[in-house]
Amino acid sequence: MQQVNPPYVPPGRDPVRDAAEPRLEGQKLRFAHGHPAHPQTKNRPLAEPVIHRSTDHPQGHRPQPFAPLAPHAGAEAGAEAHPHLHLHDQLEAQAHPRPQPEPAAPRLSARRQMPLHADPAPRHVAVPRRDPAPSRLAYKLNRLWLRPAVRVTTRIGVPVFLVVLGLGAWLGDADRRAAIVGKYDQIRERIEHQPAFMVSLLKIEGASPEVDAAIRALAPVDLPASSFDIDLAAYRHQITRLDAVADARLVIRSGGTLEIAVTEREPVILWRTHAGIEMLDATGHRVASVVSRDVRADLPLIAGEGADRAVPEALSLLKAAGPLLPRIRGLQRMGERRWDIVLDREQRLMLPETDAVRALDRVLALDAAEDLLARDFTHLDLRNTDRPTIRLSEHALAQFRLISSAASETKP
Amino acid sequence: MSDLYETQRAMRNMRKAAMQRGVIALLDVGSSKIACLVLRFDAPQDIGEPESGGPLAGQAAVRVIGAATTRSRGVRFGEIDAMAETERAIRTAVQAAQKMAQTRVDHVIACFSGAQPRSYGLAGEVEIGGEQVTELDVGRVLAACDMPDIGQGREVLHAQPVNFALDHRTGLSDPRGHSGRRLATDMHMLTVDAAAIHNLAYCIRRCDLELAGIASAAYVSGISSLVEDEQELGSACIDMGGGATGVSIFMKKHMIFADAVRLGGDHVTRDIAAGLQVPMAVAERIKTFHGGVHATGMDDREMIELSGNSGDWEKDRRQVSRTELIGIMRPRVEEILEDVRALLDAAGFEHLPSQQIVLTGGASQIPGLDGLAARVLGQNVRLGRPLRVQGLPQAATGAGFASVVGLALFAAQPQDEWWDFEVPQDRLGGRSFKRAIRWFRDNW
Repeated sequence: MQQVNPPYVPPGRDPVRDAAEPRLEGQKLRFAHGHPAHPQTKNRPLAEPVIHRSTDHPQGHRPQPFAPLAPHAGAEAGAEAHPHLHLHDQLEAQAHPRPQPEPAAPRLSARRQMPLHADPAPRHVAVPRRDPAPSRLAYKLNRLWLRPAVRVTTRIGVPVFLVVLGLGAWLGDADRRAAIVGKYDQIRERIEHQPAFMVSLLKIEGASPEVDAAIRALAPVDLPASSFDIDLAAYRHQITRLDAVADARLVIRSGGTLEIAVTEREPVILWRTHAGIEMLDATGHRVASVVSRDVRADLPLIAGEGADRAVPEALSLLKAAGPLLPRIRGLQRMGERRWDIVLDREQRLMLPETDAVRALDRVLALDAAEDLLARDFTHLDLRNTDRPTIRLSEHALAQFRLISSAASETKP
Repeated sequence: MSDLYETQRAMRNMRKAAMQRGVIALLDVGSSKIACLVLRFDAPQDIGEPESGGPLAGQAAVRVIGAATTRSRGVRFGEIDAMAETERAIRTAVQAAQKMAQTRVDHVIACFSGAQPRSYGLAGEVEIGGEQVTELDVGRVLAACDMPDIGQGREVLHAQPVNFALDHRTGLSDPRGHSGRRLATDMHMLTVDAAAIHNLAYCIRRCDLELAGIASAAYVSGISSLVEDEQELGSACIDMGGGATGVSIFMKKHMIFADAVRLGGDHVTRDIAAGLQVPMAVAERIKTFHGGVHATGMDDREMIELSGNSGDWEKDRRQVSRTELIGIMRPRVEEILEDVRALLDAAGFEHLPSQQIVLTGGASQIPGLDGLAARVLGQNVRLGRPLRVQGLPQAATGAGFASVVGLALFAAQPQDEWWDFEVPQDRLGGRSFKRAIRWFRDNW
C-alpha cells in the first residue's frame, strides 16, 4: 500500500472540501454538513485551521474526494490481476495461448494489510535506465582513432608541431632571445669565475730575461683570469713563434699557476746579411740579432744569400776544418749553391757543391804534405775535383814568371 | 529480381574488398543479445581463381581477433523493432569488438533470425546440346528456374543451388566440365520480409559500416553446429534464441529448408516474471540459475529466493520451490518444441534418411531440454555447440554463439549462391550502355 502524504494546506483551507467544491474567491463559505468521519469539524469555526493527518482516518472510511489522494484504490482488493503484465505480453499470450497449469501465481504468504501509520520509506520512482552505448560522435571518433594515420599524426605529429610552434612563437621575440642568451652567459661566467678556476700567477722556466719579458707581453689576458679564458693552444703557438723559443710546454697547475716551460734556441753561428748580423741555431733558424760581430766573438760567421738554409753543412765544414780554424774568417755561401771558406790573408777556398767536406779534407792533407796554405795565393779552386786549381797573387805570379823564365833560359 | 541480383552482387564485391583488406566484422542481431566478432583473414590468397568450389572458397585461414556482446535492445522476435535502440546496441558491440581487435572494421556480415523466413524449392533446366558444362551454363540454368510468387514486400535472402542433374544423372554437386545435353538444377530459395532487411541495412549504414552480406541465423547456426556427416545425411538444427527459434534442415551439405517460430527464451522469462510477479531481470536470473524442465522430488525442497524492488517487504522476500519454477517454464518450452515439430512435419523431415536433431542457441541450455525435446521431436536429439574457430574467446564458445560462429564459417567458406554466377546477357534486363561497359570490363 502506497501512502501519499497529504499536500500542504494553507491555514483556513480544507483540502477535502476545497477540492470537492471548487469555489470562487470571496464567496461566502457554506458548510452544509460535516463529514461523518470528522464529527469534530461540524461545529468548528471556519477560521480555525484544519490539518488532516492520515492517522485521522480509519481504513476504509477515508474520504476520497479526488483521485490523487487515493492512488491504489483497488490495490488491496484486486491483487489477482497481473499488474506487471504489459500490454504486449497480454497480446502475445493471446497470440500464443499456452496451457496454464497454474491457476494463479504462487502466493506463499498472504499479504497483510499494512498499518497506515507505518509509513514506508518513500520509494524512488524507478526510471529504467537506458543501456549504455557510445554516442554517434563518440563512436565516430573511436573509429577515426583506430586509423593508423590518425593515431600517428595525433601522437607524434601534433605534439611535435605544437612544441615547435610554441618555441618558435616564444623565441620570435629578439628581446627574449637576448635575455636567454644573457642569462646563459651570466651562469657560465659565474661558474668560470669560481676561485678554483682562477689563474693568478705566471711562472716561466728556462727562458732568458728577454724571452721572459716577451712571453709575458704576449699573455692574452691580464692575470688573474679564469682558466676558461686562457686559450693555451693559441698562447703556446704565439710563444713558439718567437724566434728564440724552440719549444714551450704550458700547464695550469692547481693553485692558479700557469706554468710555462720554455726551451730556447741555442745560437751556434752568426749570419751576416745586408740588414745586420743574425744569430742562427743548428738548424739555421734565426735566434736573435746582434749589433756587432764582437758581441759573440766565440761563434763562427757565415755570409751570403741562402746561407741560413745550409747551416748544418757549414757546421760540418767547420768541424772538419780542425787545424785550419784559427785562420778561418768565415764561410760565404756562393750563389746559394756552395761554400767558400774565407781565410785571413785574403785567401779563399772555393769548395765544390757536393762533397765539400771531402774537398776540405783533401786541402788539409795537401797542406800537411806540402804546406799548401802557407803559399801565396788568393784562391784555391776545388770546384773541379779532378783538377784543383790555384790562383796566385800578383806578387807570387810575378815571382813565378821570373823563376820560370830563368829556368827556361838556363835549360837550353 | 534483377535488382536483387545486383544488390547481392554488390554485397559479394564488398566482401571481396573486405577480404583483400583482411578484416571483416560479423554481427548477430539477436533478440536477447547482439554479438560481434572481428575476423581476420590471415593469408589473403588470390580470390580470383580458386581450385575448387565457388569463386570465394578457399579462405579458410581466418582468425577471430575481436569479440564483444551486448544486451540487445530494440529487437523483438529477431526483427528490428526500435531502430535507434538497435543502432545504439550495434554501435556498442562493434566498438567493443574493435577495441579488442585494435583495428578498424568497415565491412560487416549480419544475420538475424526473424522476419518470417519462407523456403521455396525451385527447379530449372536448360539445353546445352552435348557440350561441356561451363560456368556460364550453370548461370543459365540457375536463371532458368521459374520464380515463384514470393509475395509483395519479400526479399530473397538465400538462393542456393542444391542439386544438379545432367541428363539422367542426378546428385551432381558440381556439373562443370561434365558433358551432357540437358542440365537441370534444384535451387533452395529463402525469402524474408523485405522491411526487416532494409531496417537492418539502414541500422548498419547508420553505424558507418558497409553491409557485406546477410545470412539467415537458422542457416548459419546450422553450418556451425552440425557436424559434417549430419549435414550430409540429413538433420535439423533448431536454434533456440531469445525471441525466435530458427529451424533449418540440412541434406547433402545443403540447406533445404529453413523457417522460424516466433517464440524463444524471452517468452519463458516473461512467463516466469508474470507467474512469480518478479521483474524481468530477476526472472531471467532465476531462469538461468535454477531453470529446468524436469521436476524431481529434490526440486520440491530447493527453495529459490525471489527478490524485487517493489518496496513491499513481504513481496520482495518470497520464496518459491524449483518445482514451481519448472512448472512455469515447461509448458512454454513444450509449446516452442511443438511448434518446431509442426514446422518439421510440414517440411517433411520424417522422409530424410537420418533424422538427427541438434538443439543450439542460448535457450537450449536449459537443463534437461534434450530429454524433453526427445519426447516431442523424436529420439535423435543432441545439444549442439558451435565449432571452434581459431582465436575465439572462451566466453563465446557457448551454444548462444552458434549463429555468430556460423557467420565466421559462412564468411570463410561461403556457399555458392545464385548471384555468384554470371547471368546470361539476355536475362540481364539490359540497357545497352551497361552492356557496353560490361563488355569493356570483360575484354580489356
